[in-house]
Amino acid sequence: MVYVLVAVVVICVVVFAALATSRRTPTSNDSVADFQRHLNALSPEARRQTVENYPVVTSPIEETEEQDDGT
Amino acid sequence: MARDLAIDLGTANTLVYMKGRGIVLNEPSVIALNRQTGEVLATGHEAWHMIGRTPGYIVAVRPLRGGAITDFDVTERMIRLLLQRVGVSRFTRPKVVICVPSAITEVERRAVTDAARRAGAADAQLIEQPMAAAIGAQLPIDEPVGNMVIDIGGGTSETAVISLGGIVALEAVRVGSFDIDNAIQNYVRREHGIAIGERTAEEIKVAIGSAAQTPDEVEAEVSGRDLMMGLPKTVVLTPEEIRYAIDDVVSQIVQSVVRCLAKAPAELAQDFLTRGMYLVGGGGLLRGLAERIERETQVPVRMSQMPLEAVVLGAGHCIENYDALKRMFMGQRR
Repeated sequence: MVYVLVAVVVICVVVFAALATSRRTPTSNDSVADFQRHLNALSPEARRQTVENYPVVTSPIEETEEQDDGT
Repeated sequence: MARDLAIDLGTANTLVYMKGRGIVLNEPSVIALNRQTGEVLATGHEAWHMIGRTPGYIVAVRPLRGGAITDFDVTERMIRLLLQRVGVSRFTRPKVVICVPSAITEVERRAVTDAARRAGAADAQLIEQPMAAAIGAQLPIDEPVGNMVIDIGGGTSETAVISLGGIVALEAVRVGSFDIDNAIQNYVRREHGIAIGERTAEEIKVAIGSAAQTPDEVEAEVSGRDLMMGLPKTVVLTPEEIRYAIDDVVSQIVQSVVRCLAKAPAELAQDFLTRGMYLVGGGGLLRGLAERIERETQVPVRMSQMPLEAVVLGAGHCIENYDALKRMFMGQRR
């Protein structure tokens, strides 16, 4: 019974170690996908959302400049 | 839960972009302090109005010069106040992306990130201004083509060639629109014998300053203090005089663009001829500058749609897509 439990624990440890290692070691597929994700995030469609969806607070400095105009 | 922020900490103006909300703050990078107690009396527009007009115990300063922090303590306080104003408290610590000049030194880099962390940021990452500008100006930098961006700020002018999401060639000079203001101040002092302030010099630049001859030129009256008599005096300045006064600074900016073009790979040269270069930053609004650069480089120059906001919008896009664009941050490239 004890041998079986030890064997199960050892198998679990090996499986977890293998999973952890495979996640930590970047494969070439990971780097390709990562670079593609990077380029996709820079696409004009992705950026348009940031630029167009949100309001821009304009500076009131232009109004005050007119009042203070010393030239 | 704090909303993450992108900050364009410029020599002239500071802009803050909040994730999911857009640009929430846009004001001059100026802080007014009580000289005796060190207390902050005003920031932003309020402090800007005080420049050169304060009693002895108040000092209105720009804590950044040439894109670099000149006073670490004051900058930290300014960032802390900025974060407070956009709703950051000691319980809500956001991630912050800060735009900095590409020519920044390691020491300056550390100073900016330390100032942001001490001011309440959970994490502070830096991004080069020309890269952020290219993202914000909607250039197709995800494609394998040469995109050229010229970012002329208050203290620095940077030109970058960007392709496939990375910088291919870069040229930066610590010269910007404040140097143009200084050149005007010096000229008026030397040639007309009157002293004018920083703000008046800026107003002259906006009113009649140009880098090349333009069709609708007018003269401008300027008032200052007569250096001989000490009395107020008014003189008339012509656009030709101002062009002559600022020519040295403008030439330095144009030469840096030429150097960047020379650094770029030959394969990208044809892209510049067809796609042109894009001007961003407040300095790019100087009349005739695009024409002058175009004349000297033989490459078309176009003005970005939002020249003043392009940098912070680019950094804002990075904060919106933080994980996907991590490699854009300085020190994160693999």
